[in-house]
Amino acid sequence: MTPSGGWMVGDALEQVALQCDPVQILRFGATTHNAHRIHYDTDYARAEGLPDPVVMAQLQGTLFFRAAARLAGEVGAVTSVTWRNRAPAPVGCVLTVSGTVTRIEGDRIEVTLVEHADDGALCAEGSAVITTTPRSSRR
Amino acid sequence: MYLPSMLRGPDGADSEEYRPDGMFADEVPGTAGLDVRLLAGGQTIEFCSTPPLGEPIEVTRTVNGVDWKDSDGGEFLLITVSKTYRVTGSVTLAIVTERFIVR
Repeated sequence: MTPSGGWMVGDALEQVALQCDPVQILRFGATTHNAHRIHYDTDYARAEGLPDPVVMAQLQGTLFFRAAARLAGEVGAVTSVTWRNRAPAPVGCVLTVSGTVTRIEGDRIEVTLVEHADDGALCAEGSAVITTTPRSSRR
Repeated sequence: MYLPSMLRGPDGADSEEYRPDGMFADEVPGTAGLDVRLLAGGQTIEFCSTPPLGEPIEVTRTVNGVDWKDSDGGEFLLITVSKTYRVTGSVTLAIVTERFIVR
């Protein structure tokens, strides 16, 4: 295996998709202590100018992380993940994260990531860095 | 991702620590008691070490910046906060830079 795990610049990542329903919102909110009403209270979300309750940014971030981890083959290989929220991600829509390998330097692989809703809206965009060196061997 | 996604530790918080919108009053620095709308703007997470089981973890928060923005959607403040997660008195586990949109 090459230091980059056989990946090449331009390779597409396996997509990660999630249809986030109200039950998942409740579970994720309870687990992370996130009680912000824009995530589950429709009237409140609309009063804030949102079309409907929206998926937590942290939950969207887990999709970015998962896409990078699938490329790496293990969660411990992801050294960083970053994203910017671009548009509300309504609860109930299908969110799909896709990505591309953009840079390879030794054991370090950079990928760009985008998240779209099923209506085509760009909800978030970002990047991640993974390494093919086991964590125990890193300095 | 679990650790940096948590807004509070396992004990949660008392009712008086919440804003009327359900957010923690101190989650977005400087907004406690203000009638403002809060939205997530994005995050950068650097994973430094694997969290050990059974060890207390401390979080240090620092306000990195407060910027006035003007976009098609109107004016807003962009507050940037960094959080450093450490095993108490020991190794760094993760460094998070989080951006909040305040209208």
